[in-house]
Amino acid sequence: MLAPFSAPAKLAAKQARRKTVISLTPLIDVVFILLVFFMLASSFLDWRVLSMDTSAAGPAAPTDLEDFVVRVQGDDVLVDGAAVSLDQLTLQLTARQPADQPVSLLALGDTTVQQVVRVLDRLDAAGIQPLKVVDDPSWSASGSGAPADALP
Amino acid sequence: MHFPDRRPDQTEERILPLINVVFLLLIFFMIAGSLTVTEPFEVTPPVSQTQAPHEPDTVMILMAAEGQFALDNVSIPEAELVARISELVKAAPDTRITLKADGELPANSMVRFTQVLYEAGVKTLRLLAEAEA
Repeated sequence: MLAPFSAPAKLAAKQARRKTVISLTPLIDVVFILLVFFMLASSFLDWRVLSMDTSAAGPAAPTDLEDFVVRVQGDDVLVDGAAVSLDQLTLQLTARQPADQPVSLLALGDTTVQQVVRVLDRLDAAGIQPLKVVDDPSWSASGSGAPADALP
Repeated sequence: MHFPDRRPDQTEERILPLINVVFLLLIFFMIAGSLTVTEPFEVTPPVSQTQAPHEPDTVMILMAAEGQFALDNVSIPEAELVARISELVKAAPDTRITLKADGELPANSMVRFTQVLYEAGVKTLRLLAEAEA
C-alpha cells in the first residue's frame, strides 16, 4: 500500500507517462471480438405461441353436439368432402348452428403442422370457438421417420 | 537541445469515432439479441399470425420432422421424455410446457403426441411458432 508513496519520484513519473501511452489497439481487438461473438450468437427471431389444450385420444365425453369436422388435406380444406376456400370456410363456420358447436380440424394423411396452423390461424382470427385439432384414426407414420407411437 | 517528440498520435485520434460506433454496435447486440441455444437437430417451427408472445421460462420439447424428440435441447427417446414430463407435471402441476414442432412434421404425428402428453398429465401445451413477416 505504501509503495506508490515510497517509490522514487522518477519512477512514479515514468509510470504515469506510460499509462497515457497505452495503445487503443488491444482494446479495439477485444471489443471487436466481443462484437463478432454477439453478432454471431444473437438471435432476433420473433417467437409466438399457440395455446392448446391436450385431449385424450378417441371420442371424448359423449355430447349431444356433433363436431363440425373440417378436413385439411395438404393445402386444401374440405368440408363434407368438398373443397372450400379459407374465406368460405370462415363464413360457413360463423354461420353454423348452434354457434357453440365444436369445430374439429382433422389433418388427412401427411398434412404438415404448417398447413394445419395456417387454417388454425385463420379460424382463430375469426373468433371461432371451441376449436380442436384431432388426429386421423386411419393415419399411421410411414417411411423411415420413426413414428412417435412405434417406439418401445 | 533535444526535445522529446510530443506530437499527438494521429492514428489514435482518427480511430476514436470507429471505437464509438463499435461500442454502440456491441451494446446493441448484447441488449437486443438473445443468445441462440444449440439444438441437437434442426427444427423449423410453423409460421403463424397469432399475436401471443413466447415467454422463455418454460420446459421446451423439440419434435423434429423425422419424429426425434429432445427435452431442453438434449436428445431423448420418446418413452423417457414422457416419463420425465410426467414427473415434472406431478412435481409442479403449473409447469408451462412448450412444444417446438417442425412445420414439416405430419400434423397427425403431433396430435398423437399431444394425446400421449395428456395421458402423462399435461393439460395445456404451447405450440411454438414463428411470427409471420
